[in-house]
Amino acid sequence: MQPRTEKRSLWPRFREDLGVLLWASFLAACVATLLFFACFDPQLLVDDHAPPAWLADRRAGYTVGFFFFWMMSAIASFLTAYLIETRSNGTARELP
Amino acid sequence: MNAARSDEAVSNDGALYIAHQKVYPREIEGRFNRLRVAATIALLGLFYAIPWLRWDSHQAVLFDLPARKFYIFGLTFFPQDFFLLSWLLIIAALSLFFFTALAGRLWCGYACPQTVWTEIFVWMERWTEGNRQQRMRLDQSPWSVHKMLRKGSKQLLWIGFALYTGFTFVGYFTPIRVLTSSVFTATLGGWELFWVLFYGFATYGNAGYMREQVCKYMCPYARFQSAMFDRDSLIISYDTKRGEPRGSRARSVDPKTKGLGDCIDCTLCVQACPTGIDIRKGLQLECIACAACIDACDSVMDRMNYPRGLVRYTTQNALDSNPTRVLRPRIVVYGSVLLALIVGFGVAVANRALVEVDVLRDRNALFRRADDGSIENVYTVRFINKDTQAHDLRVSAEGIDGLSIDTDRDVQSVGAGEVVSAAVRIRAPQGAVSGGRTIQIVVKSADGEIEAHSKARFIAPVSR
Repeated sequence: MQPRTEKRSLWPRFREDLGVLLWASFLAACVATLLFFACFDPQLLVDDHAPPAWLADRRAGYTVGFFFFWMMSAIASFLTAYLIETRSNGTARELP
Repeated sequence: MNAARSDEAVSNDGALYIAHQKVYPREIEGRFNRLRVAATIALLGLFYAIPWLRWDSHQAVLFDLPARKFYIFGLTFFPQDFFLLSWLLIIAALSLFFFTALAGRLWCGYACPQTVWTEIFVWMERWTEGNRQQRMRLDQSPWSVHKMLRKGSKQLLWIGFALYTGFTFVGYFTPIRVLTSSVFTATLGGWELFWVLFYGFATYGNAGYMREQVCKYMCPYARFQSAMFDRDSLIISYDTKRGEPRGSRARSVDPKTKGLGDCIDCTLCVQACPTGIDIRKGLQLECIACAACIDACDSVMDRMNYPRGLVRYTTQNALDSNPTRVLRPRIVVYGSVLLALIVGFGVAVANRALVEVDVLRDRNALFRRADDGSIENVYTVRFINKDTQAHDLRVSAEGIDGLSIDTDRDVQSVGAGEVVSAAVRIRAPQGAVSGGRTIQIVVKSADGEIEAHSKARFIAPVSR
């Protein structure tokens, strides 16, 4: 096994973090989709044609809804991870 | 030794992060492997077979999302039954707690979709790329026709299987026979095609490439399982007292004369591990309790004529020579709550109302004054028939003296598992009501056996 040198790439670490972020937000999106569409019928949401009419197809509504929830929870995950990762490491706050 | 992972810690200049290295699990034989193969075939067999089953005139298990109806054998569920689904999820979560406390990570090792599909994908890898040594040599060798053939046929198998998996998944939501014919006539709808590809790709990525990384980096259960473990939970452990000090020796040599324990340090347990850990270092987060190391070690113990079980299913108490208790407060509490929930679920499903009624007020007008001075409100009434037979339903209203009702059909016939909407005009005589009042919409079957209620708001002008 080659000893690692200082020229380590950040990519594998990032890839791993990406997996965690996408997965955690995926789980949240699944729950959100389930709860939301159990209560609201996509067909009723397009009353008065405010959103585009093609969303009235329930299949389309569910799919778009799921990816919308996933995107939102992924944004929250990324932001959380980023804020935790980049905060000052807290040494100043620690008691001596 | 030519292990993919050395037993020594990776030298990484003091940094805590160690990049992922590909794990080449070694193929092993043994009783737990047979059990896992049986579980894989049974579970995946169910997954692939269930959409093809028929029940009466429909698919036995069909989550008909476009129609917002779930068919599960003889039962039909509607969004109104959502609490049953939540109940079922709570039961599933509590079962996980119960079985984890009792028997450790049984779920991970034998039943988790991640494990089960990875198992299949590893088989396909073995059929095309050979055993562990051959796979490692193939990966290290330069690209050649031979390598391309082997890698190409693996990809072909993987992609084909993943696509079929995606197809089956969509078959739970769109009748699979309809789906099949639309595949062969190339008339597959855009959304169906999208989900076939999406689910197929997720299977391909998770089972082909991510594998144990999903368990190590992504799975929440692996992180909080320690909260459910106690010293009496079943774990897979190496018997340090018996095994150490480890070392190689000839089969004819009595280890005691060399001052050695029973572990011959063949590292087969490490090579067999699908998550690439060394079980001899103790219980680890990464261990999915697949028992591959038990099979590997048992085969070596047999060859050495040592008793089996240097690596075995045991408990922390047993390892410390303390008695193991199966019945303990945690098990009793989890078990009884679980039992109560399951019984309650059965009762709730058996006793659920077979006909329900939903009432929506007409959004366009609050009320209408008729020529004779009576006040009319318009509603949309939805009749939901969850029964397996049709019902003739009659709608009436209560709550205000002299309420009269006017519908297009006096008796509404609603077929089995159908939802029918009808416009209903309800009139209150002049002066009977001022402002708003809550009324009851009552639906009765012709034979009087079924009765369903729903509340609605009746709005009238405020009388001066």
